[in-house]
Amino acid sequence: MTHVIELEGVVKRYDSAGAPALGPLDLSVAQGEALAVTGPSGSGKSTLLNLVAGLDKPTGGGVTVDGRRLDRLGEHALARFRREQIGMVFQFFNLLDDLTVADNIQLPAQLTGTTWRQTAARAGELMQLLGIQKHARAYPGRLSGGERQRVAVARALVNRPALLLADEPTGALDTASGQDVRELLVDLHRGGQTIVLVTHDLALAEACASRTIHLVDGHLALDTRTEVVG
Amino acid sequence: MTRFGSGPLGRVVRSGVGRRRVQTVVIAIATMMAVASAVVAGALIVASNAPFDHAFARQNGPHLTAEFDPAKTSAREIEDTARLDGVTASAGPYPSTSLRMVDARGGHLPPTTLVGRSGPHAEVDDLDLKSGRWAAKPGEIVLDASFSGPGFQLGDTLKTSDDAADSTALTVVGFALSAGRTADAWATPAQVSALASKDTQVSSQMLYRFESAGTKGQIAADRKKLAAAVPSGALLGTQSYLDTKRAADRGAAPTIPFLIAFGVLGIAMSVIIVGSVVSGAVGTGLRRIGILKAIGFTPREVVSAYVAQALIPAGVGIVLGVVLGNLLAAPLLEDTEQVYGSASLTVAWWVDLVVPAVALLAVAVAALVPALRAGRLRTVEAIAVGRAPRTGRGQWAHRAAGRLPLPRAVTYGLASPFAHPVRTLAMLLAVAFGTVAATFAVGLTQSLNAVSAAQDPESRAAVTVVSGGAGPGGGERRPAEGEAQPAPAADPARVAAAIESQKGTDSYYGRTEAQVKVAGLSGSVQATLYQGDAGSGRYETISGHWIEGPGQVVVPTGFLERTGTKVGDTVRVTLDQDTKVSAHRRRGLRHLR
Repeated sequence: MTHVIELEGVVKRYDSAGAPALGPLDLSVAQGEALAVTGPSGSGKSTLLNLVAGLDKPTGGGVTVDGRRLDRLGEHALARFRREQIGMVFQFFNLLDDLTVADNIQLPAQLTGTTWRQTAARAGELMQLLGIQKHARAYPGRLSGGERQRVAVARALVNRPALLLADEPTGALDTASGQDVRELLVDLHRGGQTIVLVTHDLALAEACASRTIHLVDGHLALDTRTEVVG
Repeated sequence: MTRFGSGPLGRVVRSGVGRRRVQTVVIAIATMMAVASAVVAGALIVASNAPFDHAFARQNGPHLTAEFDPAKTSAREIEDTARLDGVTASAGPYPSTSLRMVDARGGHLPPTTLVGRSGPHAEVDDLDLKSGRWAAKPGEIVLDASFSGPGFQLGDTLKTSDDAADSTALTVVGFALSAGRTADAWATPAQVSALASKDTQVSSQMLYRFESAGTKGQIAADRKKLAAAVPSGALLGTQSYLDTKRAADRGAAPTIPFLIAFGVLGIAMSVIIVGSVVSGAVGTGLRRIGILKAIGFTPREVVSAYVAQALIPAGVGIVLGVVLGNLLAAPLLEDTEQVYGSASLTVAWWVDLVVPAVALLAVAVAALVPALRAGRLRTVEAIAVGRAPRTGRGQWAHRAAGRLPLPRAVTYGLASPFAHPVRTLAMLLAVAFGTVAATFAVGLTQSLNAVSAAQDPESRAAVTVVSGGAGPGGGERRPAEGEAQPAPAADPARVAAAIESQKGTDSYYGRTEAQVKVAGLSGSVQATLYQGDAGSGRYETISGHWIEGPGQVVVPTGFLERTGTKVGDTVRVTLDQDTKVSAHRRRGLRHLR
């Protein structure tokens, strides 16, 4: 079985005097797996996600994603790795308000050197898939929360990343929009997309993830495998 | 990968500029105003920086202006002096004479050196024709630009003397500027030669530039060579450019420190304002920076994007600022030209290049510092900082302010600046420099008014009466615009009696200009003679005191240098026209004349 993520003895401390925010933690995520990370506030969920995304570096241990040791990469290489291998979806969308929906989606693809024609085609395909085609020229500020999150998902998927990371993707959405995003994640997982989902929402985890880990005080408290019910 | 243009970086930059309109406009306006004021300041500094030297160099002014007596030497001999060892360039000989011209209202001009030249351009003393045209035929005259004003305009007519039978009418056809002050007026050579008479001697003027002319000693040596090259007594007199320069610099001296200080202040303020605005603009974009990094922008790309985002509106502001600065500088330079009589009406070309370059650099540096910080910031932090202020900074200030017996909202506001020390410092500097600039602007006006008033004691008098006729030195004031025609030859005793008989006269003094000879000095010296309560007409003294009675004289600093004397010494002064000899004891030193 090919592992997209491998964490070996990973420790992350924000305060050298205090207890680690995460770890020591060993964790492997297989290709095509949808992993939900749950736990109370301060349990280390977002820290884990940031380490896997290469947004942060571990204090100790090794983080390997898609065969690359992220803890050994510099900022420049990490940025290149992120743009090519990682797609991220944030709780508060983190879209660029001054770019149109289409531009937001195309931007990561353009960073990889893909031609404008190819990025436009890929963005169009994703917008069609996610039902936001009609908002292509709109600015994110004019969209609803659910629509914005769909744009964020499209942006995350535009480079066909090895790994999709989602940090509380329904946390800022109303129930109906949350349901839309939930279905979207299930569809992606069914399509073979490897997903790491950080959430407080156990129902979301249950619906979308084939595996759930529960963190408490930075340690792995529970690791369960479930059937995705959709 | 395309970095700019249609590439991702270009798209981010364009969208940042286009959508953040307030920020973009603020940067553009701040930069425009900063560049405009810096262009004006730079232009003024250039204009105030050795104005005589620049004008003199531009006109290839003469190191020595020599007057030869054509009765004692031939034109050939005079022309041969141009080939003397050490002479690098020359012009002339030009016929030259000194006249006491009379204007259309009968007012006498001061003694005027009239030189005959067929055109303004020459290898030496290449004149600037400021307005009108050059004298093309007899009956036309070009006046020095200092005459230009309401009193003398193109088309006015001057007479060469009071005597109607012997007078020649000259029409003013132009105003020209000679940095070397080689003449007060110019006419055609034929016209000047035609004015020659028993009372009007015509000499030959030659203008020279020498290899070595940096010091008085070198000029004296050059003069000696000239004198030796012509028969004895043929060289009537010479004028060194060093003396002309000293007089010109003295005239500009009061305003130069103000202009330099104002210019330096303007440039410093410009840098601070641009830096503050751009830093603030970049600082508020941290969340966006975090997003860019999260989706794969490298730190270098983030830095480039943010610097470019500041440079685009700044670039527009800079271009507009240069245009505005040039427009604003024109009238100020015109004023400056009138002060110096030698500055250029246009902003120096290099100011238009250096100021935008420095402004662009300042904006780039101002944007680069926070952009580099943003580029180095860990992505997680950048996003977090964009969402909420970083905690920890300035907590001590919050704790200290919290103990004050003030409402919490007030103490929170008082402590907030300590959470952003650099931003606070920039704001403090901007406010401080703004206050200094405002104080300076008000102070500059008041100071210049004070200097002006100090230079013109007559402005303090309630009533000024101008009497006609020749004074002791032959000089008299020309009436100002709108003043009554001067009476011919007033009797000072009768004037004094008339004034004293007027009720309400508190005090009065009379003054006149005269040429006097000072023992130990060659040539004559312009003197102002007082009658009555001279204290009312006092100038500011920088040493000693003002005239308190007969036997005292107040002199400028240059007089002390030339005569090798000091305050308290005695000098012998002889009135040119009279034989009266007075011993004057100098008690004071007149300021700025």
